[in-house]
Amino acid sequence: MANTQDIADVDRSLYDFRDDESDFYRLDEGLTEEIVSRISDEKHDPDWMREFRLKSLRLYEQIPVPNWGPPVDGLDMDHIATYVRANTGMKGTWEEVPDDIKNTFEKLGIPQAERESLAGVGAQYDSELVYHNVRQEVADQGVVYTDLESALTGEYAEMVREHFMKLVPPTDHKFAALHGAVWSGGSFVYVPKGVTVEIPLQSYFRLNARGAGQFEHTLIIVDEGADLHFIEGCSAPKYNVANLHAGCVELYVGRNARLRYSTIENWSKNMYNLNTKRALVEEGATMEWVSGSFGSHTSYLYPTTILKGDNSHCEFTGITFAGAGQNLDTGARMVHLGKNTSSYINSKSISKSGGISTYRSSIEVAKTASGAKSSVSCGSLMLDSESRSDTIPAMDIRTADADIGHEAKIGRIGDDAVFYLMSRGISEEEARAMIVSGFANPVSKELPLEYAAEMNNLIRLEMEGM
Amino acid sequence: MAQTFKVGHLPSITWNRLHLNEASVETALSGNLPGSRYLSLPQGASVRTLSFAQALAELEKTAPVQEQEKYVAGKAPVYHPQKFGTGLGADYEQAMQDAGVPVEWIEIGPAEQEQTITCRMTLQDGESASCAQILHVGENAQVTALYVSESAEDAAGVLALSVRAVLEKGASLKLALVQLLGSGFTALSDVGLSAADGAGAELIQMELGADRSYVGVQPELIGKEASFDSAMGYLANGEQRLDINYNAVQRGRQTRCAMTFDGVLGDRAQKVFRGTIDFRNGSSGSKGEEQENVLLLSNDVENRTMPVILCEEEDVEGSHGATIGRLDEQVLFYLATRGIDAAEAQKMMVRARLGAVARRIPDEAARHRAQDYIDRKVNCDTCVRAADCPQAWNEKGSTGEKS
Repeated sequence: MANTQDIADVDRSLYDFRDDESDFYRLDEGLTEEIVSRISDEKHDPDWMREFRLKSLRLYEQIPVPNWGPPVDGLDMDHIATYVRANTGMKGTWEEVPDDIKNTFEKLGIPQAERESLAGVGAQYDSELVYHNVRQEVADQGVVYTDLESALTGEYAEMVREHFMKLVPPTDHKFAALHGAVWSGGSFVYVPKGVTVEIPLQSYFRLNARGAGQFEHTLIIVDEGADLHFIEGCSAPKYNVANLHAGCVELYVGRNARLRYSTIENWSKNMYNLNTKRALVEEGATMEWVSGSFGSHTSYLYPTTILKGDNSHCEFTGITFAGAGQNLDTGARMVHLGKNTSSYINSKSISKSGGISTYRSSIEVAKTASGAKSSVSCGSLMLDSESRSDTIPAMDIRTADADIGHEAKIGRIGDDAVFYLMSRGISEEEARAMIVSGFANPVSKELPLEYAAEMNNLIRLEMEGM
Repeated sequence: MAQTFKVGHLPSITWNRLHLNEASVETALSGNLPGSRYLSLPQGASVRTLSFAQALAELEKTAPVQEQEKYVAGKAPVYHPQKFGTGLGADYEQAMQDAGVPVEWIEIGPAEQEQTITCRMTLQDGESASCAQILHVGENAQVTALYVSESAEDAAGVLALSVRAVLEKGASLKLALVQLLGSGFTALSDVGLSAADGAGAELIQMELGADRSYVGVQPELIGKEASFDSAMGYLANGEQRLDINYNAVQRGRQTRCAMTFDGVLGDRAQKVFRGTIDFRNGSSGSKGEEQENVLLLSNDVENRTMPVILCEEEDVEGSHGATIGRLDEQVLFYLATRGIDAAEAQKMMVRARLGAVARRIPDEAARHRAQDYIDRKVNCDTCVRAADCPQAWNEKGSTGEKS
């Protein structure tokens, strides 16, 4: 007979601290044309962007809330502040960043990580970036890593305009339209032809304000033959009102280029994480997603890859850990358009203490994609019967010249495996934690060491008390 | 008059842009039984003819209560308005009711030997007919039920079939549904099953004919150690459209479900398959698996597949798999070394794949008819009207040209 498991909630004290926001600049809650215009004023938008925002707002008002996926009833846009700014501009050194904000990022280990293992860092606090820096030797290679607002009016203005919300148009869904209307902050990265960035760049997003939204936009263009690893991290303190994250990530991977995009998402458990990520992959290029979803109250997250060029390739490796009060709907979408394209999805999910985890995906192979290959493997682990785990994959195949494989398994921690480990002198609690860590290993081994350690630490904390 | 209704609802809906959450049918249902129908019942079985509404009311008294979904992927129930679930769903049930389709309620008690129901329907060109039956299989009774529908190859019409079965403790039902209709037919086939403690259902389903075909099956494994084992084979070419929705609900402890789907698509055929295993609270110790294998023979086909697992119980094992693609190059090469060209190898593989399902049909005559139908579609050399057969198999395999 199955053993029941008593599992403690994660200790979030590392992330669960707040700064006083009494002197912050905060727009009124709600979403109106006036508020959107004021965001545009704040950001000194060019005219086209102001029009784009207003057009997106009209789309937002027209597009219905999705009729599938987790409920978003608790999200009331009339009580969300779409723009909150600390009283500081963006700084180029940590010393210039105000102490309270600097302390926040120190606690999260960002400056230390920058010193030790990153080529550049962007740190966003609520609606604006407060710090951005890139190592000189990387800048000397011609790599551009800056905040998106600067890019919008600077040397790369035309490139930004050409690419901004072209992969994720505001017509895509309600929250893409919302993003188009109120986006603020985020990064622009350009890696020139043939340049390999040896160590990763990182953006870290911190949402401190109560009842606020964060809508950063990340635009990365990796030119022909270039190579980049970009890491995204995020966290927030917990409030008893809903917070919203509706970011957007657009990635352009040029011919024979390679981009790895890694995310450890650890938002607080009052967060609605309605994020959209999409990549366009040209001939011979490779896109790699590594995704860990641990936080949020509700998540909709399905990184999409459009394999446009012949012989392009994508791998998605993801893990989702849904605990008490969480409803995490995650997965991936692969669209094969070019010839001999290939994709591989390896997804793991764990549900415990009433958490709900849903794996949702689609593999779409167009008539043009002769020679396409795709393989999907997903595993779900149920740690108790209060929880729920659903697997909802779709395949749409429109050419005979394709090889598509899919497998999924759902189950519990086997008593035999626990018994075996206990017979080797390991406690039951430790044995179960080891098995869960092993289950997550395909994801953690894809992360840089520091992030793999953070992920394993999160899993260990979640499994404490078993 | 033709009406439009939705069938085959996915229990947990997904992105609307995929157009996979349900199918839409536009057709006119008739309350008439097929003009030519052979119905054979076992000795001792009793039959009552009821209106659809009476039958549903009776079913509510007889069948165990089915739980509606409390939760569907985070939403309040999107779809499950039926008291006794079926694969095609409530709108089809309502359409049959509106068309005045009578329901034959068949009571089958235990007997020393296995009992057999045979329902063979031969439809004429232009005929629209319906057949609805409820099988109440008593404790420990063993029943085989065979439904074969056929017509001339180029005939057109509508056949609406509904089979519901209530399996009492220890009962066993082997159900075979063989659809061999002509190329102008719209075929709807709806199955709902409930299985009490130790009851088991085996379903063999072959969908080979018709222009538009909608198939729905919903077994509810309510009792401890109830089981469902199904094998489906389908073959679609020309402009055929096939929509399949299997939804296995496992509620009892230590229930077992195994579903396999083997299909072949050629020319410009389109197919949607939704297969769900739904482990409900209380189904501890249960196992469920499903596997779909699709052979694609033309670059103009559309194959859409949704293998879903829903799980709210910890102590279960669920798995699903799908393989979709063309014939393995190594197999073709091996056969070529034995002097078998690609076109012939393709026919062999189609026959082998579907023949494996056809061989499970529990009636020799029906088995032969299914195999002959496959042969005719695959190989027009054996087709009685090879010269002008509209369903002649594509010799080149991938160009969409007719042989």
